[in-house]
Amino acid sequence: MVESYAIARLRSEYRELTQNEDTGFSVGLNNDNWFIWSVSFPGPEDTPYEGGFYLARLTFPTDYPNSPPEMVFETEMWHPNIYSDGKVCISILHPPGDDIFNPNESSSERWRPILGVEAILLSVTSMLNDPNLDSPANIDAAIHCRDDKQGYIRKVRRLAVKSVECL
Amino acid sequence: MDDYSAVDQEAEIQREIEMTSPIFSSILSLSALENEYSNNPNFLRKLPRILSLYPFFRRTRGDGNCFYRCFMFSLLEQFIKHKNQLNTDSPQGLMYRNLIQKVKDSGNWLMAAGFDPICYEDFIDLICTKLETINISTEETLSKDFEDKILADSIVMYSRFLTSAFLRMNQERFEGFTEGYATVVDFCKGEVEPMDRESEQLQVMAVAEVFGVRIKIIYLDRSDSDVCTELVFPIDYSGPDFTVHLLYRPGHYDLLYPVS
Repeated sequence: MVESYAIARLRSEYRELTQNEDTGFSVGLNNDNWFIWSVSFPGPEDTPYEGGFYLARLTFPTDYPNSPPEMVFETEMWHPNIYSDGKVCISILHPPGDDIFNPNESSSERWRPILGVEAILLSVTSMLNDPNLDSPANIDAAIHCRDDKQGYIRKVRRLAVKSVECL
Repeated sequence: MDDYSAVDQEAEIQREIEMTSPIFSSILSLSALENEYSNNPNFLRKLPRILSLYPFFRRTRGDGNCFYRCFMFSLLEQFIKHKNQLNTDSPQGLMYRNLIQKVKDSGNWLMAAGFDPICYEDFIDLICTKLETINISTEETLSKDFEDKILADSIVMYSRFLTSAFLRMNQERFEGFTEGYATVVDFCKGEVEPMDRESEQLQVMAVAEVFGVRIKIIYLDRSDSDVCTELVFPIDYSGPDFTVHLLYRPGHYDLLYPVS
């Protein structure tokens, strides 16, 4: 039996991410399970997230990279594209099937097997300061962001401070 | 949330397709289609001609990956059929050795197209091994081999990457033929690289050219004519006398077996 291509691929990506310190992302395995990763990264500079420290969990399907992983923040988040349970809703994590999430989302932004964990993390960190209000996962946060940008940013800042206190 | 349940529903449909149909059926008589289309005169009218050329076919699972899977299956099956000629200058032997070299060299191609080696190295190893050990497979075991999701998915992903690389590297040639997409790169991202997206003529053309294999497609559709369209790719093929024969019905490809 050939080793699952998912594990072979995850092992390569893991090695690359742990050896390359420039990315700013830290990754770890959960109980030596190749299919569940813990990821952490500092809040992007020059954004309300700066100074915060963010933890999330990536759960990979057994046919990864055929299908994308799921990403759930363990740090408390307030963001239009993150569900209240922490699950991230972003086009790169959606398979390119029908437009069940958002008809405005073009197929070319969806998951493809040539993408990988680093591409996901880059998309997610760029999404943090650039929310997509057209397909909100957290409607309260989306309305807050649209109608009271300053109040929304203050809340994000408070959570950034809290994220470090929680460590 | 509603979004979750929509995803669940889609996954459910996918699972159902996987449970109910094998990736490749056994070889069947093509006359089975006469019953299937007994109420469809436009299809029926075209069948006698197809039957006279291709008495047999193999049904394949309709999940959007069928074109790539059929293509590779047909290559492997023809190599198995001519096992003892693979070291000779027979068309099968020439094609076999060409293909192994192509797959081995494809890493350079994919890298030049900007893909990360992490994404394809394992697939190249797996497919080379499969080709190099083709003599241990038989025509009977090959369809079982493809039930192994690891092999089947790897072959599809690899073929999709190579197809995308070819289209990306020949962008100016295909510009304007990417229906629904502004650029060739967007087309590759939306239709070629993701799994389960169906293949149109552009992908067929790319596969034929990038692998250097002649592909002949018989189109069975609702048009009035009693002659079905037959297309051959690449148009200017000059390689060994070796052809992959496919039957196309809207949205789906099956494997055809010509009169020997």
